[in-house]
Amino acid sequence: MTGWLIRRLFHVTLVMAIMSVVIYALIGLMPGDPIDLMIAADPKMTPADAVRLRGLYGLDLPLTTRYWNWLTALFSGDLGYSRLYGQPVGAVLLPALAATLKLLGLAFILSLLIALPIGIIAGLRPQGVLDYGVNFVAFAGVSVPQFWLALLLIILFAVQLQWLPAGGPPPAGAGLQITLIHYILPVLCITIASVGDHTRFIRASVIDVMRQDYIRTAIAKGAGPGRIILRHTLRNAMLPVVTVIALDFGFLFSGALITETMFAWPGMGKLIFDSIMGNDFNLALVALLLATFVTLAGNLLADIAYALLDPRIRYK
Amino acid sequence: MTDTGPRLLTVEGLTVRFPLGKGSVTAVDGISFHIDRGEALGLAGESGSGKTMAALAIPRIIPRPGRIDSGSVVLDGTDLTRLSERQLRPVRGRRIGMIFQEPMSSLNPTMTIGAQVAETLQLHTGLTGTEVADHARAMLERVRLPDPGSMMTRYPHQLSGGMQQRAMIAMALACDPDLLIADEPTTALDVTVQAEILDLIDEARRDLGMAVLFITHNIAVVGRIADRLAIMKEGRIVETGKTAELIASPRSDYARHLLNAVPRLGAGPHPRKQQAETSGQPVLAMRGISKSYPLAGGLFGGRGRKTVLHPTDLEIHAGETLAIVGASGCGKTTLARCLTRLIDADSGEVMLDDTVMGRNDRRLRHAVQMIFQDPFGSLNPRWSIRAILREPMQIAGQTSADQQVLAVDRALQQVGLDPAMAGRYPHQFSGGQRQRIAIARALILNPRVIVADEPVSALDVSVQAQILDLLADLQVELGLSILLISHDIAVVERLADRIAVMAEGRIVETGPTRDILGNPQTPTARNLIAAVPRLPERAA
Repeated sequence: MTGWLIRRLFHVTLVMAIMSVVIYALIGLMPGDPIDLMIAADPKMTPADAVRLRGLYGLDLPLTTRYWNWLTALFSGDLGYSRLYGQPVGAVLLPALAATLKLLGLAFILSLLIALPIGIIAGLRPQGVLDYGVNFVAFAGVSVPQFWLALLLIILFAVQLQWLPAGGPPPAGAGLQITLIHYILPVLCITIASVGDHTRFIRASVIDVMRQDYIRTAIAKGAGPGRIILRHTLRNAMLPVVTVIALDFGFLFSGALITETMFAWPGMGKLIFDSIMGNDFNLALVALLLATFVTLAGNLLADIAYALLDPRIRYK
Repeated sequence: MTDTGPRLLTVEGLTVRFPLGKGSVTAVDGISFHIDRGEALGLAGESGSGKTMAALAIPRIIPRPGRIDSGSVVLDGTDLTRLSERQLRPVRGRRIGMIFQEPMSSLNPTMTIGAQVAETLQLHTGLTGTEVADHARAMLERVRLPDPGSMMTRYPHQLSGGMQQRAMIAMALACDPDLLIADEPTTALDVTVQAEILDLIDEARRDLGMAVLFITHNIAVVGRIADRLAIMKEGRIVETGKTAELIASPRSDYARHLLNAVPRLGAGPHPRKQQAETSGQPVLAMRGISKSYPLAGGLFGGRGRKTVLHPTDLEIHAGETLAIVGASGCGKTTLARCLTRLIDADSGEVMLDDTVMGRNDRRLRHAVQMIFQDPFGSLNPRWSIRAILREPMQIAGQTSADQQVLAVDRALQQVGLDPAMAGRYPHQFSGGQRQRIAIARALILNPRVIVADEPVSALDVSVQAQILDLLADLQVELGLSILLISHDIAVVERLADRIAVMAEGRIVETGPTRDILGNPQTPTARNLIAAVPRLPERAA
């Protein structure tokens, strides 16, 4: 397992290195640079100023040299400076990452809390009334586009009923109640989008396990339904679920981009969106790499969880 | 035969039905039988005769949507069909133990062997944690699993099939049940392992005074341990009787049919079998072929390699059947795959006539065709039979569509199937019919050699004989060479001109079939011959 882990971490590093080249190149090849934006914003700037500024920022150097400079700076702990926010990239990124992880974490836990019991119950009695109901609702949840759902939620709960704030993070120093109220709509929006998939997947996995011969063995031993579900079905049914759900984390991360933009949530999604729109290269680069890393880490965690759950899987 | 006590189980008019659309399918049709304490009853019949459903109906674990329609199952005065699920739980596992055909899939893959044996005890006894563990270990020792202490912490996939079945038996016997229901417990196992498991069940029965209901498709398997036999056909019991009497003088045609199907050593070759020429230029040969696999473990990759096939020479002549026999894991399948170049050998070469064959050589692919063990897994379930049979010709690309359809019809006729069935899908055929389709697929390119890897071991004995006869007929008709791989030496006698006995990656003995069977030189060959289940004291 140790050897496997070392190799996997090496793979993660390799993918990160390749992604950094790809993202750097993509941003570098984009038409326009920050100086163009400055010119647009400041009519008094002369072309000579622009040339001088490009030299100052190093934007006149070839792409490869710029990448090398960025990389060496990165390894000395310098992530660069965000022009848009007027702060070091790290200082902007960390609170945004924390905000996103809080939002996603809550939505993820809520989604599993709903999907696990419902998926298991539906799977134990397939083709029952409950199963059909669950399937219908799950499909509806999967089919609804997130931006549309976010709009509907805002119209209903913030505009019409005026129960909840339309968006924005909880104000600094707010009490628990106020903080929670700000979380409700964005968490709900992400949860509705993911809970259907989770439920259907857990259901399918439980149905599959309940058909296995070893469940028949457990019944023949005299085990009751509680024991059969808890000891024999769940662990086996969770094996494929863990993989899919961990892979889903990357998907959720990208989904957060929409949700955060809709609810003005100061997270990674909004940060990436704003930094690309504002030609804030340094920020966009690190933010995208961080998003890549979170997805890779989710996959790695899934593989480790899989090995812990399934004795047949031994990585070597 | 043992003395049997008072009545333990009485089954009266038991009917099991599966609702299907508006009607229903009757799997078990009003059967009645009884088992006395300490008695062993063998329930024999072909696939689909309802014998497994009859057995599962006793502790009421028939798969949904099947249900007991009528009849009673009285265990020691209590009618089990009238109990609630909750009342049945103390009966299952405590009074009735069960073992099944596939030990691998019948054990929970994510629980240790120890935990699974202990579970029976936890469910039915008030023993403490350490007492349960001690008892479970004692049970593993009792079924003669090596190193019971470490066995407790191992998982099913780390055990061989025979060891898994021993663990199942330990689990079923943990609470000292009155009745053991054994549903084809040895069908998925090698003949040599089968003999050991049968001995183990018989020994446990004598020690514990336990009754056994043994379900099988091969009468020879139960012949040795059953006091009485019941023969089932199409959901009904057609004949019952004391084992020795029923075997000696069966009254029903069906019982006679089942008895005749049992493969017997010394029955001689197939009547149409002609003596093949086994010298001169071979059709297919391998020279110095060896194969090894990397072992698991280590920080960066393997810790050496395990040799599964030591450098081996082999020749198959025109019209000859060469049988390779040996226990599971002896390397016979690896040998076949190297010979057909489905996998790359580490060393050596494969020659067709006198040409060395490269990887994926089209000439080899056309001249040598394979038939596999599992007729369910080796046919694509989404393809019609016609599509399955046409595919090899489409790949070969030498025939028009019309010619292909004609060739499909001809191949189906050759294997004894109606060409009108070509539009059907694999699931609409029985196991034996599917194996015929697999043979038709192998024949469709007019090959010179057929490699058949355990072609009948997944089939009922009664069907085995038909498939072997078909192969013999086709061989005479088409002049085929056949490489027949089997763990059952009785199966190969009918067909083989020569036998090669394998053990631990080596061919340890080769010779004409009659010599190997009559005068085996190696312990491996002697064990294989001794392990063949025999009908006891059969008249005639």
